[in-house]
Amino acid sequence: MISLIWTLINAHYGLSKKKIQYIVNKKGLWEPFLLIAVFAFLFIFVGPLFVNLQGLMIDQYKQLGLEGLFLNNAILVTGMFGFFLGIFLVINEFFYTKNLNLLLSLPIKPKEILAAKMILILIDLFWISLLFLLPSLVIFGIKTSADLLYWVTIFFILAFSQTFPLLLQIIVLLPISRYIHFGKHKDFFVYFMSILLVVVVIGFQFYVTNDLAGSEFSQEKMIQMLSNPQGMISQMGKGYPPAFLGVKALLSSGFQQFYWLCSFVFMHLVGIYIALLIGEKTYYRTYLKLQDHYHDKDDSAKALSIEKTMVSEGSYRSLMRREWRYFLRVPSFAFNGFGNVIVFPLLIVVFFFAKNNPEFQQFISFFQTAKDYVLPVGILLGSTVGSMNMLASTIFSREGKMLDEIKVLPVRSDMIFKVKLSHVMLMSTIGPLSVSLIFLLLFNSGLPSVLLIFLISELLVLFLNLLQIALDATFPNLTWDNPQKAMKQNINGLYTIILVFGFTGLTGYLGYLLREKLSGLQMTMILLIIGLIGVILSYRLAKKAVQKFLMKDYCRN
Amino acid sequence: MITVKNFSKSYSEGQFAVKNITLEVKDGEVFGFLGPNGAGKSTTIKSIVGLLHPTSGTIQVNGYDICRESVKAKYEIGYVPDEATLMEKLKGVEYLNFIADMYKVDNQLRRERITKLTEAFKLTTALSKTIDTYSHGMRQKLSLVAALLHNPGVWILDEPIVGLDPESAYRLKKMMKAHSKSGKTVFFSTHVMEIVEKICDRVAIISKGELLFLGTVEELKKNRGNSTIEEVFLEVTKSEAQQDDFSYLDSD
Repeated sequence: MISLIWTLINAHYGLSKKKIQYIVNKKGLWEPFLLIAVFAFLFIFVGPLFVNLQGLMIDQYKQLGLEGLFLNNAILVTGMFGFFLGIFLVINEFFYTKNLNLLLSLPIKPKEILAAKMILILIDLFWISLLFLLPSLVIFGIKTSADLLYWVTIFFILAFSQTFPLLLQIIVLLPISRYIHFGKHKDFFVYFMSILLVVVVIGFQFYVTNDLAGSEFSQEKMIQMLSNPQGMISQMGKGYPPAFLGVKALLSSGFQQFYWLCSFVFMHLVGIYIALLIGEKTYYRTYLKLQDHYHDKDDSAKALSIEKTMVSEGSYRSLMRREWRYFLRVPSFAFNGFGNVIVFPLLIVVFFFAKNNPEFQQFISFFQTAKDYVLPVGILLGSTVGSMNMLASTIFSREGKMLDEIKVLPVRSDMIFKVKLSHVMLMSTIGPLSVSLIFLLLFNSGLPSVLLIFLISELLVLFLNLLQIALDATFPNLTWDNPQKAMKQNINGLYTIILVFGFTGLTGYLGYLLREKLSGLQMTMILLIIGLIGVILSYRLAKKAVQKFLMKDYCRN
Repeated sequence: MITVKNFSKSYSEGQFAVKNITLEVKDGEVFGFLGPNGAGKSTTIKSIVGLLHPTSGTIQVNGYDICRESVKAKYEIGYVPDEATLMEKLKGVEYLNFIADMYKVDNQLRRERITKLTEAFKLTTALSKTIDTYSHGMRQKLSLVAALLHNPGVWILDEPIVGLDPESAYRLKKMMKAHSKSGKTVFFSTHVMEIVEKICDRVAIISKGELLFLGTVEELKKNRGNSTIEEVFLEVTKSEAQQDDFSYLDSD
């Protein structure tokens, strides 16, 4: 069992490959150092701000006697993140990875394979806990001078923090997948879950903004809530039991603490057992059905009218068509690509429809008082939304093993560059376009201003996209076994976040500092100049990087 | 015609996958490229089609240098890789259309060739399905059809028989012979010695990156005392397989 888990982890993270690369061949040693540098940068510059914010929150909760709510929220938010991200991990690990063909042929019990796969997903999800939960728990412990038992309890809370979300996913996904025969429509299933996720997030946002802004949330209700904090935690605990038990275990003392901790651990162990039971009963049959689909020898597929489909196109159009088909037919690519540029504008629209929302009214009045700066703010917003597409920074990584197919074609690298850039720009344009529309419809900005917002945002998006293309052409991640790894688990995505937010943050901050000296129009002109110079320089850089990349050997022998 | 001159390929400094190979594959020839696993066959083939770049030496296909005139050289080539990595999410017909567009095959010719080739390999009904539903053999067949679609002068096939059913394998061998008879070139690698004996005009044997033999099958056999081609191959590559004792496999 240990060997199985270790082998799966090794294959999943490519540990042996990395060991050979870094230790034996001593190649690409800068990669881990760069990663450490990025985290150190975040730790040094964002860390203190985060600690201060958390400290302030704890103080506020403490004043209201609701410190338990702080811990409750930390556990709940971590669980929610785990649940939504985990859905994709579960689908990938249980239905996409090809290692099951091998594992099923080995003399291992189904339960052992399921347990090993669950552990692998838990390790992936554990990173979320390290990022969201651990700092909150540590800061809370330091702030409240917690005793030794608190720190021991943290260990258990952290260790099981992603278990409940995973159990929910397994309990929901595996039986459903059996009855709706998603083996035959696995891509559709991923699309469906992805859209459902977006709808849930938007619905949640809509509910929260409406509920808090609505008249139902009265002062009376607030007083009632504050007068009985324990009752409130219990109420929330009904929705998410691990948070309830976790908070109880963390805040109690003596025997009670031990009792709640045991309850917390026991609940998770029982949950794991049930998940294994359900998995064993439903998953294997589903998986075998999935295999039946692939070995379907039924030739009843409609006889193809070859004549109709065989129409010649130019190289550019044909390559473009390939790009679109590949993008749209791989759910991970399509959802991540569209999601990144669409979700943010959608949230603003939801804000708008949440009538009487004070935050939105505040937002509108802020724009009305600072009308002079609508242009630069809109441009930066548009460029950020457009360039956070994750498509440019994975432009060649997404090719994976298919790269040979491209390299062997009789087309120049310039053509491939042109096609890929056009595709990325078409997708990115959704960002500036939707932001421009929001400014036109919601903030009543004039048409000339909106046009300027669109055009200059688009220019900056082009600049930032070109830099991302150069990045991916220089450091592509071609050795992935499932498409999710080419997008979400691609380190270039992290660099993109730093690049895009770094650019927006820096220019925005400089604009804020110089707000007394520069008018909105002058700032707009500066952004235009940055865009123009940036595009000229980065176009050459990206083109050369692509040429070099397509000449480079990526032999996988 | 393929001309390889003093070709070497190194992936890491000082370690050569292929060392100083020189060979010429003439028009009208079926040329077999043999060698044990890891000998450097695929590296050589990938370099000929432009997937890898030579560390030193030159490679020309029908007079075009694969590095300096890569686009022109690629038009001359029909390449089947050892592992058919095709775009899984495309339908078979979409993939073939894409390849035809890339090689600028006009409508009439593509219709003709797709119809004939897919019928020959019994792939017509599968064309409307996405490639991810194809078996290994079907992918290999699709890869073959794609490679031959633009009527290339030079066929470069990396272990093309692997995964094919006997009927398709027979047809492919016939096609290779016919192609060479029409004055064009077939360069292929294989581990199946019977095929080498049956269809190859000339062969090259490579081991540990070095060219050990270049000539006709008859010359090869004559030099080694007329043994079978399999025995000759083992001898040339200094294999110890003939001395192996496998009695331990079934001992209690």
